[in-house]
Amino acid sequence: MISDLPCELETEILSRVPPKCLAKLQTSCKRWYVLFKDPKFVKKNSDKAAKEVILDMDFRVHSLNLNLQGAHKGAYPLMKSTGKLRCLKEENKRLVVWNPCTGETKSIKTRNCYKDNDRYGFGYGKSKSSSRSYKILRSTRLKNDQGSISVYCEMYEFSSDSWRLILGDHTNIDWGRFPEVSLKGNTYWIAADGKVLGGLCILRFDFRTERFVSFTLPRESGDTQNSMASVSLVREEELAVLLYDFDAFPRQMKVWLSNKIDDPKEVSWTKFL
Amino acid sequence: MSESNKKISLISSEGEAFEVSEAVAREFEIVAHMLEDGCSGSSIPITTVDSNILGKVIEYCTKHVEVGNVEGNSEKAEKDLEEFDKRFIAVEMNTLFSLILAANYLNVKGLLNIGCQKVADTIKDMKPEEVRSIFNIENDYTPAEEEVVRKENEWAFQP
Repeated sequence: MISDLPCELETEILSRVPPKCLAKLQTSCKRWYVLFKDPKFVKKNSDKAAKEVILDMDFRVHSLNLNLQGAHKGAYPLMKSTGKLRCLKEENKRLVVWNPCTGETKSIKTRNCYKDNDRYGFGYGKSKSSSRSYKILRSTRLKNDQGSISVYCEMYEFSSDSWRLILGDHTNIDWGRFPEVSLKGNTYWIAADGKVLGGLCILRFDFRTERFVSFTLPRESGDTQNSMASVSLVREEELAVLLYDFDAFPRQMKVWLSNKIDDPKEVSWTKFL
Repeated sequence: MSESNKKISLISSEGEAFEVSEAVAREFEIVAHMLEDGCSGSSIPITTVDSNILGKVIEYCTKHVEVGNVEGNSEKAEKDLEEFDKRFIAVEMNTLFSLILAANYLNVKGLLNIGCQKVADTIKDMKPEEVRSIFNIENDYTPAEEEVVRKENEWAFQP
């Protein structure tokens, strides 16, 4: 119908088509197939097209298209995270993974029926071809015949579409009731510090080495161990920790930020509040 | 700066003159730049846009200038303008593409925006073959290749 539409106008139009519809249009021609995978186009598309969001509601997962054209950009930080996937569990029988950038969902078969208090982490290691190999960590608590509790961890890899056990004693790993965050391919959460009674630490699951690593919380002199803590992210670049000290007088909240949290011995924290 | 009642003639590709106020002509960024660069002539040729499309672009700009000049009750005005845009852009695909090309050439950002959005909204639920015919794209996949790409995106074809 129209043959002389300049490329930039074609791109301008296509960048406004929701990602899930673009996936269908990849079969139009090879040029579009390449265009839709171009990081510059993906960025433009995530700024301009209607967003798909996932609602985890009434034990079911719903998808929903949302047009945020003109809304404040900060309203959808999640969508800005190219390549990030979100894990949701549905009816404890299957896991649903959703990519907010493309709207793609994938249903993952589980090995057995999952429990409500199972915990999940999401991250990636390097595959042989040096691309990202996405993985899901699941930890579950089991009571044995003697009544003692043990913790099992298993790993799902997207590349092989299979689960495997992670060997080792994870009994001291307490995911607790605190929400976890994913940063640069690893999962972080606040856990009980096995070394200090009543104390807390930051626990990381490193998806490259597949090991747990614990970090001490940022502290100042005068801080007590009797505190509440929570982890969060700043622009998917920095880890933020909120500390609330119950024993301090007057009571106060502190927020610390770190963009250097690779080696437990060399973490640098900046006090934000 | 300039008197608002000054008139400028925009000449279409067929040579037809459209007399508009300077404020409306300035909605065409390309014209605004020409005026700022000291082009003082009162008639400006728009050689790549035909009378039909130029008339429509002028209608769009006139409405937007009018609404922009009204003070107060901005919420209602904004809603009216939204309604106007919706009706204005409800045209068949050929005209829509011509409007987009003209808006791009004349640099009328608002029109370019709603035009591109309209096409995107129209093609989003179409089959690849329908979209191919709209964009005049040749399918350069072999059937086997097409099947591979389809398989890769199978999830998107599910409801």
